[in-house]
Amino acid sequence: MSRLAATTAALAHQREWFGTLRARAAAGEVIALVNADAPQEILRAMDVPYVVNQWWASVVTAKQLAGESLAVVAGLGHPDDSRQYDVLALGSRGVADQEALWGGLPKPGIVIAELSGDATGKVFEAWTDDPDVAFFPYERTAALPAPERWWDEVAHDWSSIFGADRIALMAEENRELIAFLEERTGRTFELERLRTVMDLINEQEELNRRTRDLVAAARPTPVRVTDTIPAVMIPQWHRGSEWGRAAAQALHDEVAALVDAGAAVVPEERVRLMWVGRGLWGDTALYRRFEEELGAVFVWSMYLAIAADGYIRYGDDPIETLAARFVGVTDLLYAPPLAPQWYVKEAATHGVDGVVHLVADDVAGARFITLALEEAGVPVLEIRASNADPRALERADVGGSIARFVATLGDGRGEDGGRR
Amino acid sequence: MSAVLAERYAARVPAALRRAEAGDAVVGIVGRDVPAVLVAAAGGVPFRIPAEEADTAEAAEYLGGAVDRAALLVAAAMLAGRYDALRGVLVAHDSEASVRLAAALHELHRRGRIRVPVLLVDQVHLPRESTLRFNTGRLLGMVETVEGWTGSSITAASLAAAWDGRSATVAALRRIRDARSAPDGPTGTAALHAYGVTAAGEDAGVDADGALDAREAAALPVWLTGSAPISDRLYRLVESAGAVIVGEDHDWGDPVASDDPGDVVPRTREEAALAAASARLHGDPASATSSMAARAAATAAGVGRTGARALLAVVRDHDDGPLWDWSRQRAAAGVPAVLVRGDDPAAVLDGLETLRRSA
Repeated sequence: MSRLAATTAALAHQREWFGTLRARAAAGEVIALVNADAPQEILRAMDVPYVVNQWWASVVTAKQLAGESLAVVAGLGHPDDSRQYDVLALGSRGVADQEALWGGLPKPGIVIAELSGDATGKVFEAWTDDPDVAFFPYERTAALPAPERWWDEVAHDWSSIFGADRIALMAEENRELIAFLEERTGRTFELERLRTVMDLINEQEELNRRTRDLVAAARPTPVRVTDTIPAVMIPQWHRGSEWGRAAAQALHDEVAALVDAGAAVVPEERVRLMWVGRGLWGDTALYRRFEEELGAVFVWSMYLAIAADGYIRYGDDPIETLAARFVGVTDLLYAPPLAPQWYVKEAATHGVDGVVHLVADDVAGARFITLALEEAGVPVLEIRASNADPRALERADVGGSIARFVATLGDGRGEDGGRR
Repeated sequence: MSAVLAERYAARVPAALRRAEAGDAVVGIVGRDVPAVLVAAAGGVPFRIPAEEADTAEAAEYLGGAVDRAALLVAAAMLAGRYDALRGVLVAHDSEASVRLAAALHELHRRGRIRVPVLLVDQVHLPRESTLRFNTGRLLGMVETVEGWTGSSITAASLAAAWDGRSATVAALRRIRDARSAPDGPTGTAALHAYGVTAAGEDAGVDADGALDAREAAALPVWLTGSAPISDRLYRLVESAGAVIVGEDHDWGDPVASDDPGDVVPRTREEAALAAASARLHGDPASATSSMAARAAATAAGVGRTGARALLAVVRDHDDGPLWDWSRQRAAAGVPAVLVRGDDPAAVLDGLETLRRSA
């Protein structure tokens, strides 16, 4: 089956957009590097060009330049075995072959991150070894015990999910970021512009939700995760733009057409798999390796699913509503009991036969995700490795482990011959 | 005196457990960032839980293997029921390992696997007014929880007693801290014992005026950084090898004396929470929650204040913060510096030998 047109279009747009960003940087505009867990919408509303750190890390990894980037980090006097995914961007600026990296990441004037873990703040502070770079940190507050079925409530009743005081703190930090950016870039923030950005994002994520629901209900699965991941994530990095919303619409329409046509990644689909954890950007072919021989297909990754359930927020004050989007988005993916109950729900709605769970060192709460899935009757293969460390992935024998796991799952069809 | 103190240090956990079993409202604390003074004001006996050697296999199942061993050891003790007599356990948000520990223990309590209730005390660390407001609110929430555990309420009298106790403790610890800079000052091991006994909720009963054994005059004065040590083993090792630890920046040592809520007794719980939150935000920077710049400045100040002639870092696996701090600390210290990864005694001794040759 050929690649989705939406995927091809997203990848082409990303190349074009990055070229424009490089040109703006070359013309003297201040650009920002922002971690995925920190709000990007304010940058969007102020038209400050920005690169999302995790997206750039995925480019570095896909170009097989993670190892060289980490060596650069070590050469700067920093550890190369800590927060590897977060630090690839810093190291990538010292990679010899910048052309391989789309011409190279322009030097940011501003870096922004939430203080997650013990070292993320230090990773971003390391950029300030260059006195031209300024760092704006956000606090990372901790998850609260949450109500059941948060995905039904979070779009409107976010305060009860995340806590009013956590949201108030981040809203204050949003205002501090605005002042910081106005001073550093000379641009002016307009609240109405942010409101428009927030509206566009809700429309984009509502479309993602409808796409996710189509994929969940379809048997056999009509699209590969290797196609939906870039088709969702590239527009995610452009959240709040007209292009982002249009891209989500195009993806939805294309998936709907495939479902209507009865398209199948694997016509004789025997095993439906769920990939929990970050993507293997250095070896995306792995996701397709088990299709032909074993009839096993990955039908789920967190990227479309969290876009569907994790980002939609409605509220009157866009600064506070923005805080409500970001204050707990990582909790939804990792913190018990928020995350485990969500993965169980997604496994059920997608009818998966098994879960491959990639557990990186810096991810908390992974065990409770595995436990909850197993208690719900879903077999889980845990692989402990960082997706940014080719050495660890090789040691973990990811492909071999999955093949052996799939063999234990047998045929996913129920007694009546229908899909589970 | 140091021998008596060492015995009290070694016996501080059983002593706290005996009090809990006898009916005292002992509240466990994990981490420096939980203000013991508020626990005391709310009717609790604050007891800082140390990491003790144990089988961590089950704990690693829940926390993941890639987590600082100190957190695994506390989780292992909780899973083994060692602290079942406590009214509850407060875990500081002072590191990634602590957050994992709190989340895991909370979930295990919810599932009925452990008996003791657990609360994460969410104190964050940027020097901003917004952070101070958040932290103050969270401490008020903590106080309510502790009051529920102890069956007591904060009163003017309980605030006065708690504040007087904390002021006396801070004063005593600061005398010890300052005495360590003198050529005939106490050993680092003795100071660690005094800090440890105090953190266990006991009056250290010590003073700098000759109460603690003095160090050997020829010992190499060392500033210790890196991971907060598990037990006193590292201190004994270093000080048996011709060195003396004259100061440190981990949360079982000198920084505890820097969290000073002041002598003015607050009139209300709100004032008390604000004072406690502010004290920690202005206290010495900890690796996992501070910038590299702040850590480097603190290292330079500590080395300068104590007259340390060498900088030794000992960093356990999965404790990432100190690894990032190191390049700036080393540059700022102005004395010979060695970083040892892991806690192999032979590697520590090799590092000390390198320092001795360079100092």
